[in-house]
Amino acid sequence: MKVIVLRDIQQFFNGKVLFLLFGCFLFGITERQSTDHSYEQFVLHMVSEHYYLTYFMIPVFLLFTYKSLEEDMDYVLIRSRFYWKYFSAKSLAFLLNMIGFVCLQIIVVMIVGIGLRFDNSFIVAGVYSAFSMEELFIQYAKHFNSPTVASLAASAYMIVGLTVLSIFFLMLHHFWEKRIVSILMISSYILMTMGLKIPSLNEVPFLFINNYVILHYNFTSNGKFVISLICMLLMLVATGVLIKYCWAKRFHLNRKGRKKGIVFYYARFLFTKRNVGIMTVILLFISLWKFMNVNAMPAATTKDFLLSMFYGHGVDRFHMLSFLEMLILNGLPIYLLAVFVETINAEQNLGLLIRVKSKRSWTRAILQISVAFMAFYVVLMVGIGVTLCVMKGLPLVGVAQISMQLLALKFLEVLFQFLAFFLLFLWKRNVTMAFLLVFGSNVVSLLPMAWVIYFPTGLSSLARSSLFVGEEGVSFTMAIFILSGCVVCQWLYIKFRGYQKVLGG
Amino acid sequence: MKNLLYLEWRKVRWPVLIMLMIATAASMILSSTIYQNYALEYDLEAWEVGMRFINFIFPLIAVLPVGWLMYYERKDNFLIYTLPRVSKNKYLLSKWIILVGSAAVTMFVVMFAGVLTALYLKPEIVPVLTLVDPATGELISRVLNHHFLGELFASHPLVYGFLLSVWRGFLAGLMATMAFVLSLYVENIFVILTGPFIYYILENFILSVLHIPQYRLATSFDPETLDMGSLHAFSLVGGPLLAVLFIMFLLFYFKKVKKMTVYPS
Repeated sequence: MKVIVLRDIQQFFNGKVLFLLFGCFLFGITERQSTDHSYEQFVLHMVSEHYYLTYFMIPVFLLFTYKSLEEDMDYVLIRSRFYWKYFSAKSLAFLLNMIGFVCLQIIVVMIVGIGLRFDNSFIVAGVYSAFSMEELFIQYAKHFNSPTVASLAASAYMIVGLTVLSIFFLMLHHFWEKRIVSILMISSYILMTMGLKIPSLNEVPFLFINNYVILHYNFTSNGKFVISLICMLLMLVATGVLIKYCWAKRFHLNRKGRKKGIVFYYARFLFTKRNVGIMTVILLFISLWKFMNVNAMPAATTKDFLLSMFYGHGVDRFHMLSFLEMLILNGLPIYLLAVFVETINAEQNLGLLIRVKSKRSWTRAILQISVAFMAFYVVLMVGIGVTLCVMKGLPLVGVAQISMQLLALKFLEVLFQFLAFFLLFLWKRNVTMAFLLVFGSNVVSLLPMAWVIYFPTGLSSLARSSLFVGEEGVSFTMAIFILSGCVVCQWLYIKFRGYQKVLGG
Repeated sequence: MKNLLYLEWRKVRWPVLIMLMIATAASMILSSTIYQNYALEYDLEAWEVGMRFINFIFPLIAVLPVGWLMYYERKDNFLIYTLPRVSKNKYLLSKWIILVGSAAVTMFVVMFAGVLTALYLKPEIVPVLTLVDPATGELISRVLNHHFLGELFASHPLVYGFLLSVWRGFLAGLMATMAFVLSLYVENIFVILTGPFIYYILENFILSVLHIPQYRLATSFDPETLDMGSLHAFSLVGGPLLAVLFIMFLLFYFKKVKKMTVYPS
């Protein structure tokens, strides 16, 4: 058992610890330069520094923990008589690791702080007010006598919290593969950052790992500390019970649920990592750009962001950047779908041809999965934007209604463009031509005629909406009416005539 | 080599000639009509304002007639039959030369036809000076003061048009090269044919958002899209350099990361 513990500690404290020390050192130096604190206060300040802990230490902790998860070695397992003994040795190693992990940082902080005056009280001699106490110190002063005791308590709490978390992850890793554990880790971290931005959400127990690591988050309401302790205890008990009695079981995520049929066959073409990645990166880029523009305005709200995200391009004058933006935002799903259609068109899978019952069901499958893809795209578009706004804390007034409207409008327009593309494809069976024609139809909105404002391509642009242009614009109902009318016509044509020509007809 | 080049040319000649004729006709019509809505100072400006639409779709003009050349030969394994007769590199090189040559010549002819139309075929314009000198209060020429290479533009419009057409031909060749590299590895004709165009749009958008529009390919293609103020010597080569880097990245990605081969293996 001793060997297991030693080996784990050795594995944990290798070169990568230098990275932690370096980050801690840099942060400490920057903080120190502008500090009015005494030595003891500085240490307390550093062990409870919100930004350092949430944006550096916890990610590093997750990374280290992830690295130290490894497949159990057979000969070690054989030599340990019980699995729980092996597991508790690993847990002990984790406890020691975490003690080292926290103590190293405190030592760095203590070295950085050398030279500050000694004053073991909570009273800060500020420059602006002679004797002020920072808000954080007020909270600490309610529970502890002196900063030294408070620092000790905070670091002890941190050690306990980190140990419980890492043991919990170790348990997860025993039952599931590493990939799932990493997904859980990342999502718990994202949840935590979201929880920090929305304080009311943070009151929900269990979900937010920052409550287990950072002591002063438990001061926000009475009894939260007890709840956090109970949560940690529950996690430990659950881990213990599972390891003791169910260690031989495997909880495979149910893969049998994978559906069969053409729709799901095609789903694997369309919902690939690459496609989702491309969409996320481009949407994130445009959202960030829009967000920075909106955030610079005074009294910005999430609604403003959504309006600017969906602004598009108007009809009266040409603006290069908005035009490109409209092309990209509307053309992206169409492009990916066109690549998909070209793939299945060129493939001409004989097995599929034999198994498919009728061309009608084949067409239906393609359309179903494409509609799902477009819905996913539109939801992703709004989702990324709203997440950004929520993380930055923009007010959410009236978002539900406007986002529903924008979602419906954008979805209908993308659907319209896709069906137009699909019809052109059925006509000449040339994906490039069909895509370029649909893409080029965006140019219609630049023509000098008055009716182009009602042209369905680009109708989801708010720049054409009566919301911005006033009387001359297109009202929301009108836009929905035009787009859904077009979509229904296209769909009816495909349903009764077009399907005959799908794929090699 | 000569036979190889001739062979390749015979494969692409009809699409190239058709695209050449359509685009030249479009360029001549645009150069001789659009300018009527503008207040201009020199005849060559009619070419400039007329070409804006063609500037926007120039990667398509460069790629569509020739980009498919490699795709079908890889798809139906025609490449295997060339192996005993000619070395791989020689075959690919001759393909690339024809591809780039036709794209560049097409673009040059299209642009220079526009120049000739604007200078000699259409009726001469009545110069309208719009810019006021803040010091003297007199009307001065906008072209001489704010145009890219304003002196040359005003005094030797034919030379200016010729040089810019040659440069645009070169850029078209670059786009065709990008399509060629894609067609060496990608098995989706749609991606090959539209890839350079999508690259052009995305690059244009991203660099504009990042506030460095002087390094766009679009700026290099048409320096008039920007003010003189933000242009400098590096602006003309910035966009093409980025495109070359992107092409090299594509080559590296397909060859080293994905470990794909051009010839069936």
